[in-house]
Amino acid sequence: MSKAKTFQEVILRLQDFWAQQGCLILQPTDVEVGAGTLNKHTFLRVLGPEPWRAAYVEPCRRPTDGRYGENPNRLQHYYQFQVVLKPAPGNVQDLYLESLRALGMDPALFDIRFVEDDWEHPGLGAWGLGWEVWAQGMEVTQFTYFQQCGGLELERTCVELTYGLERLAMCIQDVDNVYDLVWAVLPSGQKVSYGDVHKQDELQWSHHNFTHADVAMYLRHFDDYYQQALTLLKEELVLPAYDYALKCSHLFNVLDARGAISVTERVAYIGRIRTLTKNCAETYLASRLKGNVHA
Amino acid sequence: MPDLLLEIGCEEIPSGAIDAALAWIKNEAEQKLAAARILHGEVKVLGTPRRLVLMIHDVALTQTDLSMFVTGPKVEVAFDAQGQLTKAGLGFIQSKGLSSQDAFQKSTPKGLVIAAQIHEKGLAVSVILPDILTKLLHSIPFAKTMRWDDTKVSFIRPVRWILCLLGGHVLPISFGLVKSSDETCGHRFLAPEFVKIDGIQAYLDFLDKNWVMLDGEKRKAAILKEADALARKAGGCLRADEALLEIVKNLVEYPWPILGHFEEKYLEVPKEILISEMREHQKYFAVTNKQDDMLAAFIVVAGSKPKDEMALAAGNTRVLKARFEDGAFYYHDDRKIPFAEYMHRLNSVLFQRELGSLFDKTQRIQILTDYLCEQLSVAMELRASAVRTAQLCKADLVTGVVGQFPELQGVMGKQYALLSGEKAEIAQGIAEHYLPRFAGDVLPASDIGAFVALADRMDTIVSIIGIGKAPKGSADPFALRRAGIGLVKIIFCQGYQFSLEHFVTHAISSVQKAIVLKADALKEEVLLFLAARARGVLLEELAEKKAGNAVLLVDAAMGVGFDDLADLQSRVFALNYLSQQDTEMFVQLVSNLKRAGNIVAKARSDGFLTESSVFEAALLKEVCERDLWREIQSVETKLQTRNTNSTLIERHIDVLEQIAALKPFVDRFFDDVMVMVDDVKLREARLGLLAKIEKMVRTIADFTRI
Repeated sequence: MSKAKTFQEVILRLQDFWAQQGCLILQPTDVEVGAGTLNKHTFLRVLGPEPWRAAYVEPCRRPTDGRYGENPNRLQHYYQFQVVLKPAPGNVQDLYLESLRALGMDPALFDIRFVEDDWEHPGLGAWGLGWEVWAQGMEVTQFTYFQQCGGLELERTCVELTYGLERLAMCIQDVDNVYDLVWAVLPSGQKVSYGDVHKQDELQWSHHNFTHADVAMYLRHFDDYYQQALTLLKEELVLPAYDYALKCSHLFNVLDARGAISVTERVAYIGRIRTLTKNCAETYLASRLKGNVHA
Repeated sequence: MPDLLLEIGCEEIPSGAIDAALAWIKNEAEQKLAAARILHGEVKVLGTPRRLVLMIHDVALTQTDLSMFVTGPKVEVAFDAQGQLTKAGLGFIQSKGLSSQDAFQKSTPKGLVIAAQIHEKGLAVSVILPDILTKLLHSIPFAKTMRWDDTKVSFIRPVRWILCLLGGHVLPISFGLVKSSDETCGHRFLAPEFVKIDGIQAYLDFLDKNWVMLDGEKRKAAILKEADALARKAGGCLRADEALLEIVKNLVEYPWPILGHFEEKYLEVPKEILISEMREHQKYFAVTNKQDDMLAAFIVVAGSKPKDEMALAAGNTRVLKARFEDGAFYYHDDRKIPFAEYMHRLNSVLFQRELGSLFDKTQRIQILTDYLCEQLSVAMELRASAVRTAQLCKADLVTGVVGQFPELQGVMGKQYALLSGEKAEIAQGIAEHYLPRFAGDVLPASDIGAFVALADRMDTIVSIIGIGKAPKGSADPFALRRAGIGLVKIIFCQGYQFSLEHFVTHAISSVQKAIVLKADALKEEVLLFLAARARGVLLEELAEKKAGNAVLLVDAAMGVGFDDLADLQSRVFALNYLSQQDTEMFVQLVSNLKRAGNIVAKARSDGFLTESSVFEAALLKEVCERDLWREIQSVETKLQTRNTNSTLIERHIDVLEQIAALKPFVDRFFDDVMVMVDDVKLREARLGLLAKIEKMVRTIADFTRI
């Protein structure tokens, strides 16, 4: 397979590859999230025994990782390509390596390695074991066998593949700086870079996240959304409640980047988010049993 | 006889789990085969991230036959009057899988009992082994296991194939959905096809030719050799890092070390940050020159044969560059405000819920540091530096670099303190106060580092025990034992003489508000806790000196107190010195002194020797007692007029040698006179003699307790 020469080509080929493996090609959630795992297509769908295969791009916000556009690969907004497979196929490692070949990456050439990673997300009450996958020393994918989600033991083990699209593209394009990545080559022959698309975002959002985000407003919103989520859960409206839980999670991340949360409070905030996600997971599982699946 | 070959083929096992699992498998296999009466030859275990391998040579074809006597209840219980088996007798026989005609009577020390002879013919090992191996597979103790299919079987990572051969034939075992076969594969990318194998030799040959170096020690040696050559090529040498080597050897099935370079400009970032970036995240080796300065080069161990070394090196450099940029970002960012200002941010970092923030803790460390300086009569200038060090010692915990690299705590504190214009001794003290970090680590070299280290540890011990969270059993979540051992070792090493009890009292008063225990009870508990640590450290130190009577020496020395730990240590060493000089003489001396001590103790408790007892030397008429009195006086004079420049331990040895010189006189005294005579005056005089010896001895140790 020839190399996927542009950023968008990487996305197109991954979608194509995983569509052929029976995945639904879905779209990102419209709430800010820190990872594709938080999208309900993963977080809620891994619960229960029903088979589920999906793949989607997820734009992720990690406010603390902002570097004003000055670091070659740290970004406060970046893209994941998320694949979730339930149950985990026996040949999933091979499938993953196939997907790299589909991008034009020869695993031997790129010194692909599976390096231990105990994945845990305290806010989601989720953990799993697997690896960070290295390509020439660069972590390009998180490969996780999900064991628990929302504090619930999973009925069937799922596997989650989370590709870091920028890093993957940097390896393929042999580029040292994320902003130099070729996003697309237009039919006219004009090249559009990742920097053209996103560099201003990084600069402006770094200022926002570290300096200008209105702490009082964020704290207020956190409380409001938290209350709303609890109210919705009482009504068993788990899907809207879950969106509010995600909003809380994001607000917390901004407050954290802003340095507005002490270590003591941190634990309490994470605890509140976990309360919501755990409640959502339990409510979802219960409503699913009533044949009342909204997802 | 056939060989057994078991290969558990896995998805990549975490590096740190491999060697431990292999060692466990070897031990367990040997035990289980022995228990199953299966004779065998050499047992070997080898492994890579993708396979755990057990090889047992010359396995017997059948189990050894079992032949043994079993005995049961007494004859009266087992047989009735007619000589027939009772219910109890029958029960016993049937429980052994035998029938009534097998029973007979046997005379034992317990009397006549029912007995039987068990004969069990050994079964074919090929029938027994699958069960043993399956159980073994299911019970490997991994720290964290996972499930991966609907059978819910669990292991450290998914098991994907099992090669299991006994004498070239497949031994049928299964694990989850996987069934054993006679196939294995080579390197994941370079030789992925599964191939039939017929025995250990064929297996080893196959792996050799297919890019799997099965022996971890060989991988290690290969990495070291090649990495060393590459480092020389770069004009430097490989930075020795045994821990990293242990990790890296188990990250690959076959190692290909590659040399990479990075831009010189990053060398401006402190090397500790660069090394942390390389080793913690990337598992790269650093290259240094003879002065231990970093070169702009690194060594990465690839797991696949590089088709293009330059490209692979460039790819790895790219990652490093991003990491260095990040390190440089934090390093730059951290220095935007003076280091001392970070101290206030410690207010928002919790030490422990009941005990407040880390800022509160540093306040207490300051008080205790100042107290120690006062106790040790430290000069004012040094004292001021020590207190400043205590104030700043935790400030680096809230810097960006330490947030990213917790292992750089102290190291960054030192750097930032220097850059902010703090005195060098203060910067050094900040770095040293974390020492020792683990068993066998170095201790603080400077007084300042040692004072703050002691203050920090004492505060942790007193406050955590004070809120009722003393270590229980193997649970020691606050690592108090390690803190206690560190505290003892620092005092021993520095020879600081001060009252431990007063130090504890002071620490309690500085944390008073938070504690739930009563101050007296807490002091008692802390002192006992520290005494146990001191005892442990002393026993360890004596073991290093190959001491013969370690427990005796330590307990005797601690018997007269441990308030001055430095003194305690030197008393123990003095005792050991004498004991090793002439062990036999020492043992006799001890029993002699013990006897003297016991007589005095008993006389005191029986009221024969009291405060009002009078020692009249003139009453001592016998030659032996007058000789002893003369010698005691001479020793007392010598000890009073001795050289005061000598060290603690020299002084204690001196005392002991003087006492030892009394031994023949004490012996004769015991041989020739009775102490407890009816004549009150004479008895008190003789007891008085012994009491004088006892008093001298008790400056070193109490032998009556052992």
